[in-house]
Amino acid sequence: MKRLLIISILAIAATNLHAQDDAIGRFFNRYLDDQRFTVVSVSPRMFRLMAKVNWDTVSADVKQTVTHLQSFRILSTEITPYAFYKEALAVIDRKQYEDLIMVRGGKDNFRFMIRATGNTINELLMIAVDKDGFTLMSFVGDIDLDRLSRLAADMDIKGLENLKNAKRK
Amino acid sequence: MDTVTIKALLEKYWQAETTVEEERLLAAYFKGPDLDPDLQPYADLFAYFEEESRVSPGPDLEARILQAITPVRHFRWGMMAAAATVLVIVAGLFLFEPAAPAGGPGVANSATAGQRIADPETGNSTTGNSATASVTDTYDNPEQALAAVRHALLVASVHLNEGRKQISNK
Repeated sequence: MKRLLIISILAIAATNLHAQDDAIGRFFNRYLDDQRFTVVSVSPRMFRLMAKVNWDTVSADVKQTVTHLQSFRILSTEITPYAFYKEALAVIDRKQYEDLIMVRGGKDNFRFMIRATGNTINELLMIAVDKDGFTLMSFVGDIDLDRLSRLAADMDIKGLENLKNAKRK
Repeated sequence: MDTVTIKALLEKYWQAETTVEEERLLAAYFKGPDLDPDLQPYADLFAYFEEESRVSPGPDLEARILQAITPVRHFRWGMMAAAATVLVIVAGLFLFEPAAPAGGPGVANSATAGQRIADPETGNSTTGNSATASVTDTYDNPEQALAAVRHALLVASVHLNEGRKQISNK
């Protein structure tokens, strides 16, 4: 009987672990087919297929960044953005993801979170919200923040403004 | 056989120094009729030894031993139930892994919207990374996928720089 109890406890613990492990994945899957959301996802297989693409016009930093990625997902909506922002934050397991950058106030409200083992960042999560929309973005792979930071720094300010406006179609 | 010899033999017997032959002599003496009254108490002892030596195991001894040492196996319904439950839970965890959803048109914002390709390789291609296990593809064209990733990387990069700038301003 004692053994039975131990087995049950282990089984429940395993279930919890599993649930925590994939909280973000479940958040994505929940809204994958929801008409309110715009979803873009790129699988590891597609990242491997990119090797065959013509990279001539791509900068070295972008190329390096992309080749170190395994998968990419983005989920965005213009409907009740703050509610989804709250929900996303509630779903994230704080034992796995640590806050990197948090900007609150003004017109932009966003957070970066990372999942890391040692000095390697395995996942970069960006959650952004303003009155016009909510975006959840996840890059999985081996992420170099300095390199990522250089991508935008190389562009001119005007280009950046266009990009930000084009972010939500 | 005189009493003196017997007493000497008996003394040797208590010291466990008698030979088999001498023990047989002793046994014969105590069985015999002309006992020295001094030695009478020992006669019972030797009679007892004689009696016990005739005891032999019954024909079913082996069977009884085997029965005694073979563990009895009760069918443990409790354990069976526990094992089945664990099995069901474990199987459930794998079966209800978020399945790759069927493509729904109008979800993605590209020309190839709705063309999702379930990735059969992702399950084992990304070692221990559950976050990628259920990623499906919005694009079936690597060039479009790359364009989307580049765009997203730039957006993330812009925000990252903004965030860093704010932190350094404080």
